[in-house]
Amino acid sequence: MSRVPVITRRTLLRGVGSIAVALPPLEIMLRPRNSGAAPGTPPRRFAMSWAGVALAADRHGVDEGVTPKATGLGWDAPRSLKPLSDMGILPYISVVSGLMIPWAVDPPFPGGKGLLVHFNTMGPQLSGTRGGAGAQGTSSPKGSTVDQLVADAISGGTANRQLAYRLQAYGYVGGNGPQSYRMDKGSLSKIEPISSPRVAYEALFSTFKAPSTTPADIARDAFLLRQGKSVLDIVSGDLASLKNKLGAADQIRVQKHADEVRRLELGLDKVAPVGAACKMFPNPGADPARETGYAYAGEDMRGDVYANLIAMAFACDLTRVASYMLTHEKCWMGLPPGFPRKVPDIHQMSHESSGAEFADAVGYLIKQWGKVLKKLKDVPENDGSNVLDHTAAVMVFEAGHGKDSEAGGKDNAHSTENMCILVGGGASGKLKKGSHVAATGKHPAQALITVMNAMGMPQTALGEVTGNIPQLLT
Amino acid sequence: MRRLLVALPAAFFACSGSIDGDGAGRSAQNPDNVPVVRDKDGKVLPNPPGAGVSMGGPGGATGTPNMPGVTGPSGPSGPTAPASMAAVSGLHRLSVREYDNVLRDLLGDSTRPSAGVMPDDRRMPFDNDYTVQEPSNALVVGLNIVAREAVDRLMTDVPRRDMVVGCKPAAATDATCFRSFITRVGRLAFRRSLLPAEIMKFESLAALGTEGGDFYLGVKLALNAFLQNGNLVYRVERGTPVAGNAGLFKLVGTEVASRMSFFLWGSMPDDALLSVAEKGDLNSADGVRTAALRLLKDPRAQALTDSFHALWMGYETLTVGGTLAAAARAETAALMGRVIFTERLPWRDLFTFGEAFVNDTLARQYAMPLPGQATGKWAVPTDAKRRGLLGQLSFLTIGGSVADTSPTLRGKAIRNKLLCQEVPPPPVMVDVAEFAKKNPTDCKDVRYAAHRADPGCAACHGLMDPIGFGLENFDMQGRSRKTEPGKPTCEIKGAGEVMGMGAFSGPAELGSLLAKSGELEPCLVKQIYTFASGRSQLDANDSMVIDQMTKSIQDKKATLRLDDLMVEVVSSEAFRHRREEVAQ
Repeated sequence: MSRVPVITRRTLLRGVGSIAVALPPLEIMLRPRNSGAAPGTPPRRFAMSWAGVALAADRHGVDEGVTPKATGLGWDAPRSLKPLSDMGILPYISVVSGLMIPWAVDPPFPGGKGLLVHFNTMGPQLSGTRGGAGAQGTSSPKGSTVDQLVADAISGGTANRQLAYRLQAYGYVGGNGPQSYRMDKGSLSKIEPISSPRVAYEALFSTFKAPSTTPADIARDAFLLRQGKSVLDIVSGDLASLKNKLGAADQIRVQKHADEVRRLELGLDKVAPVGAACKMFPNPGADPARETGYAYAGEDMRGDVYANLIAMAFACDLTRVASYMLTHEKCWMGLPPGFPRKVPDIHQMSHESSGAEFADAVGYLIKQWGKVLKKLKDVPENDGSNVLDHTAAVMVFEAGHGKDSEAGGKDNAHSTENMCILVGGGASGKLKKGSHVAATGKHPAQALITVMNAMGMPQTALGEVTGNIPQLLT
Repeated sequence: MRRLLVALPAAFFACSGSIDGDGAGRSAQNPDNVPVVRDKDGKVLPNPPGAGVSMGGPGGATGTPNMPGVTGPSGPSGPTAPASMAAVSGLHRLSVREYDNVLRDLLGDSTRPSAGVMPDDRRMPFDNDYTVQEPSNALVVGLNIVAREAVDRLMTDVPRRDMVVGCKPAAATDATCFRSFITRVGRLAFRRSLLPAEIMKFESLAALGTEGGDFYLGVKLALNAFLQNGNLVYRVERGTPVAGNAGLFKLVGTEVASRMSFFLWGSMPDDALLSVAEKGDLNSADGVRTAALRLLKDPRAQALTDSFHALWMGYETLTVGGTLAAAARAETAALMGRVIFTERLPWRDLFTFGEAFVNDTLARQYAMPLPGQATGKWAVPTDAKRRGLLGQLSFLTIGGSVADTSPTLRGKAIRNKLLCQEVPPPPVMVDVAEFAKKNPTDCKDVRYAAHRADPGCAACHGLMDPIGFGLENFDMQGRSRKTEPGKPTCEIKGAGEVMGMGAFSGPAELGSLLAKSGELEPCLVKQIYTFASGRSQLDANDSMVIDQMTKSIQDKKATLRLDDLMVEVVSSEAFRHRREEVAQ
């Protein structure tokens, strides 16, 4: 993909190092599509999303919310998928249902889990690694998660190996935690997501600058660039000096920090490889206010920004992988004012709300995921397709519905039976679109192995889990 | 789990789940199911057994073998930990709370801009556990933004800017003034004097100011470089190797100063503390004690104490919002200030103190006469059952489900948080949700009694539920009540019991009961040690130190003051040393 920028006004400089400069509103004027951009095959992209929710409320069937009643093609959207239908992207969505994570007190199964559900399914699903033993065991990933494996395969020379965002704001009851883990040279790192739209905007656009055109602008930009580089040079240099004076464990910490500063520093010199469909949008400004407890933190607005950023980054080939976490594990996220519910947060709704109310709450999260897909669908590629056609976007849920492994109920949200994974996009023709695959008893990681196959990866295993679900592939 | 199984009677494990819909093992205030301590995989590290009903000694070290040299020198308050018992310590990144405090103390910026921009710190339960900190793009970009905007604010506030710079430049090229600024601010920012090479590097930024014809451009760039610098963002401790004790390092004076100030203030050392350190006065217990007493007289110590308790007990993030949350936090902070610092009362008086600091918002909530003030005023609560910390809205939001109080979760919170006791989660294959929905029209005491009628449930619910029932006259929003919500015929009796301690009714009597029990102070010792070390995974050495500290207060629990305990922690030999962390 060769994309040559033609930008008539200088763009973002606010992200230059640590300098604040008053700038006019952002604007990039791009040459029309196909004018100068070399034709070629669009790259494949990948997006992985996690929602810390079950698929149905206690005592309500999973088919009330997410699982279509019919299999194959041409099914009607169940209640939680209605937002995707409303956005016109349902034909791009496949549902893989009937998935299950096996459990035991001390899981002997590949990709199995202990008895608890919350905080116990991310590892088995996203990295295929089994969870901790005993009733207290938790299962954060013990190997690279799918997004990291895909990034290894497809990120190429893009400016960002991946984007890592989280819809749920900082500061909620329930704390923090990533969905993305990377195993590198035997060391497992957590990839902390950005949970602030304005931080996300700046992080991305610091690598997104176009050359100035007038001599005055060129001189000013060069001076600003030197200032930014001078600051970060000192920060980087001091980290390097510091590292040399520390013990081995501290050296690892400092090196990780230095790597991120270096990434910021490298961004100062980057000129965005923008193309026909590569468009910026205005700075979103301040983040929505955040109160304490379960109070809604403007996730609708946040979701709009993240969707724009991911779509733009894919369109501009600033990255090919997005790790877009929707909520924490055991989601205590608030919902917008007026959203019908008995209790203020999504998790508690799974235990106390009606089936319809909870299906709508799950639908709210699916809608946030769908916003990304809709944006991708709206971005044209040079060959007449759209970015979503060349993307595989997966949405993974913390729980399914059915037998409660920790408490023994038969029809509960605390279950890893009847789990679903949503798969959106076409992966350049490799993924079947709009299909409902009933993969009864299959492990969720097998669905993700299949998606990796669609991304052109020959994977037969994810962590300990092997095998795929061929019905998902064309 | 094995240690716990050994510690507890078999009946304890026969109990079933709570009837709160989501199990006693989980609560909104304790989302990770972490009563106090977890290991790296998130597994709970239970406390070993204690005496009587206590399920685990707060020190968690009962029965640990003796080690040579663990009996340290005796300070004024009893034995203190020797150097050989120094804790493992690595590079601590400043928490969001600490970074904001540094912005306040270095630049005079009180906007506390970092929350929501920099990633949340994980609560373990404290926010300063360096072992769970991981650098990230989110952190570095957030830091870049916070730093840049803090410097921008400073530059537009000329009096504050001039105070930070400390001299008036004669011209854009005033190298003397620039060097003076770099040297002075750099020493505060890095918490040590800058090395000559470092001064030169920062001075190089003045050239850009000169080129731009603006002295303050150089200042701005230098401050940006300070605020994002690893020497500021991390608490760097190296020390000097202790001969004959591999892996043990004696901290240099300025490193001790940083440890002290972040423990006692949650912020950087001031000029006076650095000066004391540079003179070598922090090399002795007496020198440290003298310096600590000064720090504890500063309002920053009061704020730190408030944060410490809020993090420990889990009311830092309240489930109520708006002005009510602000009033509640102000009430609790005021109680800390008055008991610990103003009146210098025993720490346990936090639980029995007779007055509450209420503004109109909170007075309405407590059904008290309105003080007619937005800020607040001390008054005796109308409800005689409402006394001390346990009667405050801050605490009463803990340990309930969203919809209503949970006697089980409240009882569990008292045991976990205040007594440092471990209560196991519901056994497997008990349908907690089923219990929650059984006989929904029955009064709560009837429903819970039915639950406890199951012999498999009685044992551990007997340890939790009666405590919670004693607090039932207060709802999750801190209001007094006589009947259950939506059930006017269900009168709340409010009768409670702490097994092994006695009966009570309401927060006032519970606070008094707990205070007299002598069980609170050992838990305080464990928590203050954990907070000071900035590490939630305690090892055998930590446990021995905690045991030793606990023994040293054994005979003076009733008069133990928190400030004295904090001084004791910092003046130990162990506090002035560190043990090298092993890379994993």
